Amino acid sequence: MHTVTKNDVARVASLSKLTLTPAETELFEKQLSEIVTHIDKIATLEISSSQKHTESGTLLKMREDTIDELNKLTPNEALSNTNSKKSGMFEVKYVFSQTDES
Amino acid sequence: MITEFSKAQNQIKSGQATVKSRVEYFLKRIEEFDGELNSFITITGEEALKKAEQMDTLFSEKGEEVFEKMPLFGLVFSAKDMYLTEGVKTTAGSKLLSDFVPPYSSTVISRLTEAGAILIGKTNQDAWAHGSSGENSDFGVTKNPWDKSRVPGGSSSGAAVSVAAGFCDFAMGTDTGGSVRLPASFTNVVGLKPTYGAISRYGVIAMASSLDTMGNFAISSSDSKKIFDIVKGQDGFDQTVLDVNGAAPKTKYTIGVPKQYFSEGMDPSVERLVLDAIEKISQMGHKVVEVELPSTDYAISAYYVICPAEVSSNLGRYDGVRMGLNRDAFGDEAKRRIMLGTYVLESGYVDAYYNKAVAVRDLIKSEFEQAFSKVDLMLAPVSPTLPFKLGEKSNDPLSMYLADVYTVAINIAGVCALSVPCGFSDDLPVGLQIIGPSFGEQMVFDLAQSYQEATDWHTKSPKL
Repeated sequence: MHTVTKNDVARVASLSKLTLTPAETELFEKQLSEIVTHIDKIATLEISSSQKHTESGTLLKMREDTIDELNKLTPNEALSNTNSKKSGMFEVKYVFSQTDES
Repeated sequence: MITEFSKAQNQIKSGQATVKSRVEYFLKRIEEFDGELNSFITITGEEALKKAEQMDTLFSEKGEEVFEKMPLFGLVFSAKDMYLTEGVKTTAGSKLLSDFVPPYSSTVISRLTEAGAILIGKTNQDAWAHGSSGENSDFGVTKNPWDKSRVPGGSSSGAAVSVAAGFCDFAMGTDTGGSVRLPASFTNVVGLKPTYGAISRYGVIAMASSLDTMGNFAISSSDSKKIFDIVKGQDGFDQTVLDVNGAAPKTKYTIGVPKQYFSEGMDPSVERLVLDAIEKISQMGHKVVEVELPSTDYAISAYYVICPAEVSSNLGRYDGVRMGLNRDAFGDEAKRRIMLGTYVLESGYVDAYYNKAVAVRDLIKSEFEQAFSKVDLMLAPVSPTLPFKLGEKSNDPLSMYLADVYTVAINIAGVCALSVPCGFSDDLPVGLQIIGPSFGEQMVFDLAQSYQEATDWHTKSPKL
């Protein structure tokens, strides 16, 4: 049986890009442990799956990667809900620092 | 059968009402009663009145032919705040999206509008559709109009209440694990969970993409069918949607009652009313037999692995860059599900949890297929309990998850189901779940209609 520890909560919060207060960490440790204990009943089942289909039973199909002129957003529409834009583009934080390039 | 829709449209045809007078009537009721019930997040009154005037002009010019071209002409609806509506704020019940105004509408909203229906507002819900009571909304709880100290069920809480309280003719909700059927059962309206792949998810905020379905609320199953017939079918934007004509209605059905759906812990008054409804349907000449769905016990566990796994992925996109606030704005339940999903997908746990859950899904699907090889439809309760008290489960997420015990397997199997009013206990409504095979909606609607013709539970409305 798996138990969820404070370290587990801190690790998955970090992976999920969530910042938790100490009180939240404590609360989620208790609640996630209870939930994981409940879902543990499937962990012991001896079954396996090979899912190749979509949920509605069709084989996954691809479409041509073309522009749908009727359904595309203009740059202004695409930017209409952001608080951080610059020169007609989304402005985001650096992903890599300049020193990473060397 | 005289339906609410046909009554409303006959009033317009005969001149007893105009589209505008109907919109005004609903807006007045919302103003009078929704302050306490809190079923709406956004009211689109001005836009609705403008559209109503245009439609009245169209009717005066074209006459009754408008009802042929636009089958939902003059009907007024609300939509859960998961549905993108061009130019109208769409929050998913979360303060993270409190200022989000979509630049386009979902396929469902576009099809309803083209069919002549008028949007009167966007309804309250558990944030991101995570919940069974409506209490996880960042915009305040929605109250049950039958007893305002109780929950209306969730996550499509406001949508159900908007129909139950007479604020509109019908409502759109979403059902990923019971989020239409549970609130329908708790508020005495009809609630459809369609077959996965029957209706496009395009333009609806994603919760768990392999389980999300676009359901509706109405007073009668015939009305629910009319909505379904308008919104179903391929749109070119959701590759899981199929154009399938499922099994046609029959005069007499063979109906299965899964014995695993009458388990310990069920409220005896709910069990009595559901068994009475099954007896009534048997008396109507249908053959009722017991069926087995042996893996039912594993459904909740599988659901609460698959659903959070997909939630953690779908909510990954909300980083405050393209829309909304940053991730600190997520509420507790969203954080719980994101972390649970991340946990079950982690490399050390993915085989024990996620891959097992997917295998359980295959097992449950095949058990439903086997059952439907013997019966046309199945009957079951929607909820093991009556509507519970506000606050009763809000600090205990596991007990809240268990409220979905009779609904999640239907989403896992991908089949369709309808909650239909089947009686009252202590003046609180109870729903009967009619389950059909994939694309078996027409049989489900047909049986529900004949049950509603033989009973009058759905005609009862709450005193506000």
